[in-house]
Amino acid sequence: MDYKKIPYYGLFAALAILMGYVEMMIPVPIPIPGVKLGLANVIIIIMMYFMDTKSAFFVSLIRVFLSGLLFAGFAGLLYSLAGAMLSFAVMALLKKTGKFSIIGVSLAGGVFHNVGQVTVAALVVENVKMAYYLPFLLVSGVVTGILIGIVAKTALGYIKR
Amino acid sequence: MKKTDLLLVVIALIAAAGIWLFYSAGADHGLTAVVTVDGEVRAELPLDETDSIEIETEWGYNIVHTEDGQAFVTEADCRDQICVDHKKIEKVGETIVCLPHKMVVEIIGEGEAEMDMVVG
Repeated sequence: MDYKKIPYYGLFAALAILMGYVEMMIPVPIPIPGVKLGLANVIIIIMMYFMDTKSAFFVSLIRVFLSGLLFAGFAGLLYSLAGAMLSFAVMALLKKTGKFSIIGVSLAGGVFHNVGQVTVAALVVENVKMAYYLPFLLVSGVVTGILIGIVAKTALGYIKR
Repeated sequence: MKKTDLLLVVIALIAAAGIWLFYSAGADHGLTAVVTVDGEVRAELPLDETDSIEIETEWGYNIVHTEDGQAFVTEADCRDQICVDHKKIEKVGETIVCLPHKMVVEIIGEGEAEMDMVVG
C-alpha cells in the first residue's frame, strides 16, 4: 500500500460522510422516496479523478458503512450499498472509456444510484411495481447528477491547482 | 460537457418516458367488476373485455354488462330499477347496488380507491 495515500483516504472518507450528513439537513421538496441530491458523490467523483478508481472505491465503501451505521440503521445500509456499488461500477466503466466528461460520469452515477436502490426495494418488498417510481427517479438522477458533476468539476479545478 | 454526455441524458430520459408510458398504459387494465349477491361472490368480469352476464338471485335477475372499461346493469326485474338507471362505473371502489336483489357490482383493482365514496 502506498502510505502517502492513507491521509487522503481518511480525509475524503470524512468529507463524504459529512456531505451525507449535510444532505440530511436539506429538505427535499419532492415527495418521492429516493429523490436526493447525492452530495457525497461529489467527494467520490473528485477522488476518482484526483487519485484513482481503486481509492475512490474504498472510500465509497467506507462511507456507505459508516454513514449507514451512524444515521440510517442496518436496513438503510442495504439500500445505500446497492445504490453506491451500482453507481460506482457504472461511473468507473464510463470513466475508463474516456469518452465522457466528468459531468457525464456523474450523471450516470446519479441515475444508476437510483436504479440500484429501486432494485433492492423491489426485491425487499417482493413487488415489481416499485419500478413505478423509476421514471421519476431517472429524471431526478439526471438533474442531480449534472449538478453534482458541475460541483465536482469546479472543486477539482481548485484542488489540482 | 461533451456530446456523449448529452447522449447519456437522452438515453436516460427516453428510458424514463418508456417506463412511464408502459405503466400509464397498463394502469387502466387489471380492473375487474366483482358481482356479489348477499355477500357471496358470483362473478368477476374483466373491465377491458366486452361481456354480459345474467346474475340469478332468489329474488330476481340482473344483467351486468362490461364494455370499454366500464360496468353497468342493462336489465333487471327489480321494482325500482335503480341499478339500471345508475351511471356506468369505471373507477376502483365505485359500486352499483341493487337492494331488492341484494346484488352489488364493485370495481376492484390494484392500489387505492380514487374516491372514498360516491353519493347522490
